[in-house]
Amino acid sequence: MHSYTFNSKTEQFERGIPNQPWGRIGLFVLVVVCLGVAGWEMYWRGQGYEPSYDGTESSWAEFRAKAQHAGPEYTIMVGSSRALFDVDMPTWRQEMGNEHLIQLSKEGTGALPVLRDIIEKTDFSGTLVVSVTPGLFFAKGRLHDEWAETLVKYYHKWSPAQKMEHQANLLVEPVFAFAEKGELNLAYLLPRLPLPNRPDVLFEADGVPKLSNGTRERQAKMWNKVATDSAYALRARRIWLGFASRNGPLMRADAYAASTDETMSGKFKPPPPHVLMTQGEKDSFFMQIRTWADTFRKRGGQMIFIRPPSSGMLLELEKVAFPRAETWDVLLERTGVPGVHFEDYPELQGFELPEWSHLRAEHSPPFTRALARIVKEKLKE
Amino acid sequence: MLFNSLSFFFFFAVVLALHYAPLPWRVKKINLLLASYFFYAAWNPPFVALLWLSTAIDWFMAKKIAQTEEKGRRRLFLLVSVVANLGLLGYFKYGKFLLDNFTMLMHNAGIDYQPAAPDIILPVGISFYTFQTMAYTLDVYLRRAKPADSFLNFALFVTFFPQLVAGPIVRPTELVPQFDQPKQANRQQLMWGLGLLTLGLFQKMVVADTLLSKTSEMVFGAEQALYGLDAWLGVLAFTGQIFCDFAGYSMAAIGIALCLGFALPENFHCPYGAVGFSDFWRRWHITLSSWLRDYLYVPLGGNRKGNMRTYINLMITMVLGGLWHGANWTFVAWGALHGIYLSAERVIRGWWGDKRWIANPVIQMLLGAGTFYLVTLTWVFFRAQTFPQAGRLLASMHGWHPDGIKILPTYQMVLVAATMTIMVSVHWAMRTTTLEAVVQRSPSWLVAGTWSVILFLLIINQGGGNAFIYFQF
Repeated sequence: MHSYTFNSKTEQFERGIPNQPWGRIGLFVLVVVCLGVAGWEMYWRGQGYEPSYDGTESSWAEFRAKAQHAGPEYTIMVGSSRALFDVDMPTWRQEMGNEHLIQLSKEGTGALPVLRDIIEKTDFSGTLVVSVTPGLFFAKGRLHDEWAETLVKYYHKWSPAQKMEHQANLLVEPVFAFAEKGELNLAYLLPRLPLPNRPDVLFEADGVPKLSNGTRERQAKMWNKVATDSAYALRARRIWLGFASRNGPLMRADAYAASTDETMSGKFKPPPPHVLMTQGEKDSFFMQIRTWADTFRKRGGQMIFIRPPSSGMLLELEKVAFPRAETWDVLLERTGVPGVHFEDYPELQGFELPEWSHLRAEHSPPFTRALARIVKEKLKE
Repeated sequence: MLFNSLSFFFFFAVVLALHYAPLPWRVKKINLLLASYFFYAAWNPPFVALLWLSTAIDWFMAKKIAQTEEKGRRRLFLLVSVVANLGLLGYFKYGKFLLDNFTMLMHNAGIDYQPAAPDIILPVGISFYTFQTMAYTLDVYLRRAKPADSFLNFALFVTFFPQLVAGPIVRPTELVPQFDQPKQANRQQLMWGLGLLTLGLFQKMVVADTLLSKTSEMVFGAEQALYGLDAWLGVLAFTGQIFCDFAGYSMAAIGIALCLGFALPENFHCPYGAVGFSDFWRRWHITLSSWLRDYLYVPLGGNRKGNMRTYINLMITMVLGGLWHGANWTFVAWGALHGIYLSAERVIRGWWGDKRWIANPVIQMLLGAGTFYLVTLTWVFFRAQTFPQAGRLLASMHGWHPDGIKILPTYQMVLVAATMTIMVSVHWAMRTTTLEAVVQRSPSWLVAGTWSVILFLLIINQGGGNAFIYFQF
C-alpha cells in the first residue's frame, strides 16, 4: 500500500510566511538603499575615484578571443603591467597608422605562456610586441609562469556563465566608481581599520594598491593619486622591491611599517640564487623562445621585444639580479628577434615613474610616440 | 551561474517575468525547465547530458518497478537506477581518488604502476542531483510512493534551478506535487522570498567571503606551526565560513523558489546552538542527514538490531556521509569522527539521559559549548588538505607549539572573534525558534532597517563572484 504519491492528491508542503506589512517594508528598503548607494558613490568620487574597467580574467579572455581570428594587419602586445601603463593605445595606433591593436599584457605575469599560446594555438601572422620586465621574464620557471598559465587556461575554458558575467559587469563598471572590485569592496576596505598589529606578527606584504584606471580595451592609466601622493607611491615601491627581490612572502609587521625609501635599501637584498636560472636552464630558456620565434617568423609574422623603463632602487635591483649582458642582450642574440631597450634611446628616457615601475598617465603618450617610431623603424630593418 | 553574480539577477528577472506572464501552466513549467537547463549549462554545456541521463533512467526504472510485483525484476530495475547514478558519481567524483589509492597500493606492494593522469572535471552539483533522483526510485521501490504521472513534473523536480547544484536535497514528495497546480507567489511570499535571498547572499558574500575566508585561508595555508591563538581563530573562521557559505546558499535557494511560489524545505537550523551530536545533525545539512537516515541508516537496520549493530550502522553512515563531501581521506576522517561522537553520545545518553540535572540550563549550556568545541575540531579535517597539516593545526590549538609563528593582523583577529561570538550567540538564542517567528514578532521598522542595512552591505561588498564551497561536493 502506497503511503503517499508524488501527485497533488496529498497534502502539499508549505512554508510559513511572517505576517508583516511587506509592501511598506519593501518600499522603505528600496528608498533607503538607493539613497545609501548614491551617498556611497558620491563619497568615493569625492575621494578621487572614477568609473573604471576592471582588469579581470574575463576581460583578458575577451581580447584573447579576438586575437584568435586576428589577421596579419593586427599587432598583439603581450607582457606585464609596464606594457599596460606605458603604451598609450590611441597614440600607438596614430603613430603606426594602423587601427588594429590588441593588448594582451597582464599585470604580474611574464609574457611567455601567453606568447606560446598565441604562437601555438592561433594562425596569427601579424606583429607580436613582447614587453620584457626582467624580474618577471628572466626569473627561474617563467616559461611556465603560473599566473599567466592560469590566464591562458581560463580563456580556453571560458564558460558561458563567465562570459555572461563579463557582459553584465561591463554594464556596471563604466557607471559606478565604487564598483571597483580590487579596491573599494569591503574585503579591501577592512584592512584599512587603524588597529595596531602585534609587533612579532609576520604577515604577507601589502597587496598592490590601486595604481590605475582601466579602459575598455585594457589600457591602464596611472591614477593621479600615485603621481601626487608620495606616501601612496611608497606603498607600491616597497611591494615592487619585495617582489623583485623574492625575499620571502612573510615580514615582521614592525619592520614593514617602518620602511622608507632609505631603510628599504638595507632591507631588500637581490634575489637568492634559487630564483635565478642556472646556465643550463638559461640555454634551454633561450632555445625555447628561439623555437617559438622561428615558428612565428616562418608563417610570416614579425616579432619584437621591448624593455620599458624602470627607475630608482627597482632599476638598481633589476641590474644586479638580471644583468643586461646576461639576459636582454643574450635574448636578442640567441633568438634573432629585434629589441628596443629604453636605455639605448635618449628619447625613451627622462619620463617620470612615480613608483619606479610605471609611467605617470601624462607621460605615456609621448613615450608611446617615441617608442612606436623606433619599433616601426626596427621592423623595417 | 552563481546566485552571487550579477548575471544571475538578469537571468532571474527574466525567469520571474515569464513566470508571472499570462501563460498556461504547462508553458510556464516548460519555461522553468528550459531555464534550469540553461542555468546548469552555463557552467559546462555538455554536462547537461548527465542530467538528461539521470532523469531518463530514473523515470523509466521507477515506472518499471511500479508495473511489476516480481521481486527479482523490481530489484533489477532498482539496481539499474542505483548503478547508473552511483556510477556517474563514482566516475566523476571518485575516479581519480580510487586510481591514486590503487597506485599507492601497487607501489606499497613493490609493483611499479604508472597510470595515465586522468583529466576528469567534476560536474557541478552531481552529488546533489544524483541523491535527489535516487530518492525517487528508492521511494517507489520501497512502496513509499507511486511514480509521478507527468514526465515534465519529474524532469522539473530533478532540474529545478534554485536547488539543483547545492541543495536542499528535496524529496520527490515535497516538490513533485507542487508542479501539479499553477503556482505563483502572493505579495507576502514574494517579499519574504526576496528577504531570504538577501539574507542568504549576505551570509555568503559578506560574512563567509569577506569577514572570515581570508583568515581561514591564511591559517590553513600556513606551512609552519602556528601560534595557538592564530590557529584557533583560523579554525573558528572556517567554522563560521562553512556554515555561512552553505546555509547562505540554501537560504537563497529557498528564497528564490518562494519568489516563484514553491516551497523548499529547511536545510539548516542554528547548528552551533546544538546540544549533542544527534541534535547537531538535526540542524546541519538537514536534507542530507535525513536522506542518509532514510535511505542508508534505516535500511542497514538503524538501531533495531542491538547496540553493536547500531554503532556499526552509525559509523558506516557517517563515513559514507564524509566521503560524499569529497574524495579525500580527510573527509573520511571527518565523517568517522562524527560517527564516533554519535556513538559515544548514545552510550552517554544510556547512562545519564534520564537524569534531571541534565536539563539544568547551565548544564545544557556547558554541553552546548562542548558540542561546539568537538564539532570545531572536526572542521580541521574537513578543511585541511593533508593529515600532517591537520595534525599540526590541532597541536597548535592545544598549546603544543608555543613558539609557533603569528600571522594574523589584528583587524582579522577582531573580525573573526566578533563574528563568531555573534554567530554562536544567535544560534543559541534561536535554537528553539525559527527565523519566521522572530521576524513575525519584530516591529516592522526593525525588519525594514535590518533588511536595508544588509542589502546595502551586500551591494557595496560587490563580491568577487566566489564559488560556493559546497559546489565542489
